[in-house]
Amino acid sequence: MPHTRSLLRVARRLTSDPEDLVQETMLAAWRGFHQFRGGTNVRAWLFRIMMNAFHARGRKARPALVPLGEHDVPTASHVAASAEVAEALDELAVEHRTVLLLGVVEGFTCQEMSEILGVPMGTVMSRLSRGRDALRERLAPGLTTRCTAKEAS
Amino acid sequence: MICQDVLGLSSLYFSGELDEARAAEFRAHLQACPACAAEIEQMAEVDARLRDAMQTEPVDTAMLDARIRRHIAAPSRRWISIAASFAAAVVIAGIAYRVSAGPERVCTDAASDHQREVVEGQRRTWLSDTDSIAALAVRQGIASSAVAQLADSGFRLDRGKLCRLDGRVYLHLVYSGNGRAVSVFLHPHDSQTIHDVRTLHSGSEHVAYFETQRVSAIVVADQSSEPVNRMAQAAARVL
Repeated sequence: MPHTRSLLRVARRLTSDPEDLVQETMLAAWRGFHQFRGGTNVRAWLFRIMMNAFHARGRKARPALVPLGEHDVPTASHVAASAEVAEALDELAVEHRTVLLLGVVEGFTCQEMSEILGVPMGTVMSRLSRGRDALRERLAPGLTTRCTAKEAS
Repeated sequence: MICQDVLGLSSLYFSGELDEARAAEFRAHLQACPACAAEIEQMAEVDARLRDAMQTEPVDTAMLDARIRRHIAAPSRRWISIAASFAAAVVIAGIAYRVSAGPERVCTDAASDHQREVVEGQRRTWLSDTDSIAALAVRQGIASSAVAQLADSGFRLDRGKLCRLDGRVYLHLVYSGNGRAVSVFLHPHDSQTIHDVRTLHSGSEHVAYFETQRVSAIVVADQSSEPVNRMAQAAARVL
């Protein structure tokens, strides 16, 4: 089924019952298809439904870490590296985690995320940079260097 | 542009939402300010690690898809009452999906992009040194080794930049060989569906489209289909 893979990948970093959330999303989409405006992005529309469902239910924000399988990933060190990133991501505030998943992993633009999440674009942008900072701090502590110069020549 | 602007605009820079003028200012600042350049580089690295980690995690949707289908198929009074719109919705969903996923539009965009920027040489800011192009590729989630390997097919990497096709940001690389220029457009994706190389014409351009598990790619050349086929076959192997 188109898009369930993307939805599930994001859902399982948000909630401990990701399959239920995606199923709810797809059924809601199916029932509400008449509200879908032609010419707009189906994928963004589905994510919008999913994020609404996620927030409406007041889900448990912290997921149980989904264990990594072994068949898709080439080496043991790769598995370890992915698990490290997943763990760091799971520690972030849910709104930071959400924009990182939607923007960096799923490739949505800030404009699209603003529509998916129903928040102003400035909010998306600041959540993204805070999220990036927080993730970097966890993955490479001490690396964070803030540029303090007022202006570059 | 001051350092604070760069940090503030970094999200739009990464998502390709800065307009040409702002993007040029942004890049100029990075050239002049090593601290910001390092900062942006680190952010890009974090992004790449995150993308890599999430996209290599196996996601099995077979059970879930079956569950959803069962629910949709289960007849109930409620469902029956909207049975008429069901058929319509499925048809429209199918069409909408095909439109959003179909390569025709993006191929046409790629062909006219090649026509304007490579054939007619419209003024654009290109990167021409291999290292900067490789860094740009990595920022877009494309392995820099693949960019280098594409040249093994007998072409030389000439220049590169980012462009937008059908609403998505693509890495546009221009390779040349035997006096012919070939455009390669790459966008990272993660799909279980793999499209074999398909070729088509758009105006005077020859276009090849394919998808591997990691990228969707379009190869465009004018005049002859031979370089397109050669590059597309090589690209499908390394990407």
